[in-house]
Amino acid sequence: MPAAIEIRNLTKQYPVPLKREAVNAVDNLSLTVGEGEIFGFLGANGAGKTTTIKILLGLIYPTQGEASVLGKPAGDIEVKHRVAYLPESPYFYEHMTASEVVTFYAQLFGMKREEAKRKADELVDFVGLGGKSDRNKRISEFSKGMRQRVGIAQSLINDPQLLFYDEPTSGLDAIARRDIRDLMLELKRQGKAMFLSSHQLEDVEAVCHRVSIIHKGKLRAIGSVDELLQGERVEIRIGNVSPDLAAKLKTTAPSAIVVEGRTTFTEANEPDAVFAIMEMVRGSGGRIDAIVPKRRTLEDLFVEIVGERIVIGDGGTAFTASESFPTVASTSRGDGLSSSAVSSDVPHSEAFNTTEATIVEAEPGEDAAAANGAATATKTRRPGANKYKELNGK
Amino acid sequence: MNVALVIARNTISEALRRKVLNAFLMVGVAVIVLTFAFGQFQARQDLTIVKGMGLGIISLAGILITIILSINLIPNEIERRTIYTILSKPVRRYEFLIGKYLGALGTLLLNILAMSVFFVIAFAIKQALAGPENPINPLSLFKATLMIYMQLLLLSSLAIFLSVFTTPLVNFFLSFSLFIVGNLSSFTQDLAKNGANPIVKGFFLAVHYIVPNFGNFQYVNPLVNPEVQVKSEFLFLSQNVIYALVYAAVLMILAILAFDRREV
Repeated sequence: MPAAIEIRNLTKQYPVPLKREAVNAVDNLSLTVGEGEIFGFLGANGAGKTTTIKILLGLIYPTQGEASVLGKPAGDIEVKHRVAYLPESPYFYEHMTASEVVTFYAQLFGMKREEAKRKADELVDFVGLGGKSDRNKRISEFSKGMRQRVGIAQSLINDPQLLFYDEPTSGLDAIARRDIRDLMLELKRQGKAMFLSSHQLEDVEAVCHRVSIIHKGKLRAIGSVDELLQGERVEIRIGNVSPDLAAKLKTTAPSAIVVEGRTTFTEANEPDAVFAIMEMVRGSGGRIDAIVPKRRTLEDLFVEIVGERIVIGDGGTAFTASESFPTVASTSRGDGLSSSAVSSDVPHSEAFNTTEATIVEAEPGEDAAAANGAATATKTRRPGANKYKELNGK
Repeated sequence: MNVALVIARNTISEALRRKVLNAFLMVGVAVIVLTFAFGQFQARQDLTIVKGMGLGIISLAGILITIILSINLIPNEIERRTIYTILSKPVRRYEFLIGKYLGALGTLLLNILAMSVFFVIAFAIKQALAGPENPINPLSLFKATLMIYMQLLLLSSLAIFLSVFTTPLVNFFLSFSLFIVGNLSSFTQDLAKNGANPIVKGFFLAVHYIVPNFGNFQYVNPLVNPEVQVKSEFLFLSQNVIYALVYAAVLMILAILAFDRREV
């Protein structure tokens, strides 16, 4: 079975005005998306998500590398009969109604006007714009959420095998976001393959079979959500922290920031490290208030990879992602998605897409090409580490 | 080609709602009306002047509508990102470009036709009231508006060609400048022949042959000045139509070639 999307060593460079060097918007990216798979493509703004999608749709051209969609080269006109695209914050002709917009796009597939109109009306109903008041409204009167629904309707006009959705819930209020997410779940139930670019992590977590994280154009992690989040950790809360203990903690757990004699920080759930901290606290007259198993969230992983500092909870407790960068999860897939749904005949991409969730760790200042190829930089997480329970008292 | 027609129809429908273009159309119609009103106050006002002014206004409004419409057709689609949803459908880039061009031509046709019909009817009434010795068939004015339309067809292809690789602002001045230079073709031809040195001669020769000869389409003169005679009207009209179509086709082919590799 051919892959829905296959990307090999894709690079896209943009020249920098008045400079010799070029910027890599996408840097040696390789991945495969299986048929029927909902694939999350995460990254911060400017990470290279939209550039990748545009290459896959033939809107821009790669500097190096290859990309194929549904077994044909990216941008192939025949493939465009079977794919759909919803750009970020889509704009439609303002003077039209939702039905007219979708009819216009239907006619681009060669449908006769009557057939196009009939299908458009069906889809406008499907996305919840079929009510009397919405039906006669022009796009110029639509809210952002309503426009997004029109975008989804136009993306379904050809009953596509593969959907490219770029930030479909970006900038929407909670209700609109939930509605769009429900629509995506409905498409998932219908068996559509989807390449979902987003930084709305809850949506991705809810919808996707597999997820990848791209940062500065480079692939940093790929695997199912469960696999990627298996790097379990514990949150350690310590009270009565003396200056001496604070200094010791600083070397052992750099993310521990002491505020008014107390600190809370997150550590990898590894017995040696945790026991060492407990010993240190006991020896310095500190008090362990709690050790709480903490499931890693996609946001944790994302922030760690993107390397930004975030604040958790009250009291100025914080951790720096780069400081607490995890070792690697490497586990078997268990999400029920057929392994054969993803290609395993490409040696380069094997490390990324078959039976392992992989995080490619970048050293500070490391060049990425090295990091990308650095499957050797991965370690297997130790089993049996999930045995800590919440502790109270000293 | 069906896809190009769908895009063309959509382009027309959108363009007809653009306020700035409608404003030019309205001003054009209003000035044509005013021209006739002035004529009534000046007893010696000649119908010839009315013809000249009316056709001049149609031409001027047409030029402004053409340039403003054509320079924005492609950049607007890119800026608003509507081009992404269109080109991600089974639409070839040349179909998109041809569709936009046909849409521009359709819009221009409707605008020029509206002004022309208004002008011809008003002229017929004016002529009937004045009762000149040698009345002309008011419908013959359509020949002049046909020439104006062919001139605009060519200008639109030039502006669309330039819009593939220039910003709308640059394109506005460039298209306008080339239109003026193209109207001065006899002048550039003289400079090419009688230039001071070979470089100047070569430059004006290149300008003369590369820039479309917009001055060819001046049918206003034979209409306005009876002493200006056209040997064969049919030949004059058909040559100009063919010239405009061939030149526009070449410009559109160049635009398609450039747009095909353009990143959107």
